Amino acid sequence: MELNGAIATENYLGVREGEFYNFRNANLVQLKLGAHPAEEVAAFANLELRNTNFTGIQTVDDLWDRGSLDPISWRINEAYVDLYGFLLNGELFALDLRAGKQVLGWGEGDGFNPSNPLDPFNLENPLDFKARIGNVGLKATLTVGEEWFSVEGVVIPRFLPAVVPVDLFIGDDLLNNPLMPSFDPAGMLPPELAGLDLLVLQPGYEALLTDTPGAELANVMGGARVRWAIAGFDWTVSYAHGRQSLPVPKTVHATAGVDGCPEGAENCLAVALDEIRLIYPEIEVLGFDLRGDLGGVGLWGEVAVVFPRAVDTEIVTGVPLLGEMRAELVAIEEEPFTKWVLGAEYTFPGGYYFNLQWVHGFFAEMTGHKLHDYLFFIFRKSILADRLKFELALGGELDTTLGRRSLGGLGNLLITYKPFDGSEVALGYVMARGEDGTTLEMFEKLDQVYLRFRADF
Amino acid sequence: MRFRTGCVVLAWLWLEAGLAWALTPQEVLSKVDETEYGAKDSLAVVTMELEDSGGTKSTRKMKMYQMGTGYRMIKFLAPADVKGMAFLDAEEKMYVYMPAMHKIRRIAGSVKNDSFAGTDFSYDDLSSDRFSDRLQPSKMTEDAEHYVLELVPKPDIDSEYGKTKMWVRKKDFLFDRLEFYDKRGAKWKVLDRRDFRQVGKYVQSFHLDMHDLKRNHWTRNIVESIECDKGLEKRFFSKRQLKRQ
Repeated sequence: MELNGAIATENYLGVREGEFYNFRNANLVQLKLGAHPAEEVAAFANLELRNTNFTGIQTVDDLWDRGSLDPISWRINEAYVDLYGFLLNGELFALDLRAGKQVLGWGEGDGFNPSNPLDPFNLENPLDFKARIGNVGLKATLTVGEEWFSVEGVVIPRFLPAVVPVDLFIGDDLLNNPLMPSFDPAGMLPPELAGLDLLVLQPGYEALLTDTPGAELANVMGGARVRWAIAGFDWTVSYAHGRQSLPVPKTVHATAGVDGCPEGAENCLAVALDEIRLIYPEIEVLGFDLRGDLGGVGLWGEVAVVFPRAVDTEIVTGVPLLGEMRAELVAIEEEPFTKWVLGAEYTFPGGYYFNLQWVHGFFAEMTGHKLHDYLFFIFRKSILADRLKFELALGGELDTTLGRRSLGGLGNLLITYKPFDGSEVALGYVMARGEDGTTLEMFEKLDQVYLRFRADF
Repeated sequence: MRFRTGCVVLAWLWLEAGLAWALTPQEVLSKVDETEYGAKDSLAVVTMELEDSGGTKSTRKMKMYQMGTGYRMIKFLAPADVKGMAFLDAEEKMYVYMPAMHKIRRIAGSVKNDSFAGTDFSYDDLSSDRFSDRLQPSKMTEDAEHYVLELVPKPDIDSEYGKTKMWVRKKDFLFDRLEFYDKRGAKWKVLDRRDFRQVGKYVQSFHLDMHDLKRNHWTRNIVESIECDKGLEKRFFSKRQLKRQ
């Protein structure tokens, strides 16, 4: 058995208008266990013990309880068994199985993989779009000949939602959240009240309820993909039936009244959101991926044709004198749409690495008419035999939806230093700015300096 | 440049040495290929020690599989932060497997001249083509123990080096020194091989030093173990195998 792992401390300092406003810290112990009981068998587990500086104290009694005072969580990031050459291990066909908690890693895009709706996002660090969490499943890969092509099938019995970033819920607007499609509060009002000034009161966290799909057969997810290489490129065609790993509102129960309106305000109607019930919409995705080389330039493309299931948000509003009013908004339209990623990379002599990627449709954009365009540029240079690495990432957003033309921008500077083998110190700063309605505008609240120390063993 | 941690042929060395006086530069290069690529395949466990001009050291440990020319796979065993990472060069396609990303990625051609994992070897240095497939002799001199070949890239080969000088031992047609020059003629890297040992019917260098004169940086390859003619097959050098633990 092999034992490896890492110990790390991660520190994030939120920045707003030049002021530090929030400190967040996570300390983790990661253990990676590998075993090879036989030549054709491998088992692997990635376990993580994590402690954050969020105390769970609610009452004086909790002061006795170390678990509440300084909470920790155990996680199994991955735990799977590989069987190589299972039943088929000939020259023409070879079948490999992977069973257990695993990350599939579908898609050729760099960090953005719209053809992969099966791996849930891990947005604990919301700016690390690449991170996914493992889900329990069974994967079978059939390799034909000398890798003339391979066919992969995946079954995931139970849906696992994305981990959303805590930063977005620290004293902010829950309704204006880049990870959930916002809905128009004006639509809650019956036409008779349309002339009033609507004031939507922020709901408490307890008002947001999440319905996750049960263990019924109808909720089983899965997919398949075929991969082959020809003409200097690797090609993939995939199909997946899954769910958006970020939720949308299915029902909203609200109460309208004057409580909460500013004193003296006329024509004001305050709406309190008593309960918002969220669901994870089903989707089907047809993916086309390629990656290869043309004249030394690395090129990739990933196109996902998304077939969403419609979701209507039912809004029930109690209005004084008028009683209970009902309205319905379209949260997700049943209209197929296409997301894509096109990218190129090149390494100039001396190790100067450049990466350019055009992303049509952010991972949280779930309907066709709301897709924005993003251009991401990465420059990377390592010196001192890879000990010191500089990485600058710049992103631009163009939102031409709803007849507007809004711009957003993102910058991320990361310096990573490995003073000794197995150790790493990373210092970074990320900031985002955007005009009204852009995704990056909503990420402005995530401006942060981060400092990470890590030792691998 | 092609360096090997594989196995080389000892057979008929006495005869080769006897006929050496008649050899042309191209024939010497062909014999180097024959000896350097004599084994059908090999598996070596190699420790790479990296050292910069300030004396800072780091270590990589890897398994290197090779079959003939054109097939090579490298799997990192240490340090822990790169363990599991793997590199495949097969049929002129290069792939890297990054466990943290759960992906196998084809490597773009532009990276071929970039440093491999911080060492003084480029990705292209680690490919496994025959010398004579990529280089042609422009000049040959000799001393008592060596033929000294000056090699330039063939016209259709895109190389970061303008010239390579190779010291070929007359007694067995193994090279023990390579000097690499950039396209402006400045000496860039020097590879020295020593500690040649018999491994079955082949001879293998167990110690290689690569010195990058521009960076003033060294990579020392110490071969911990090597096996030859293990019967590796072409289908072993595959993406399927690349991600196997």
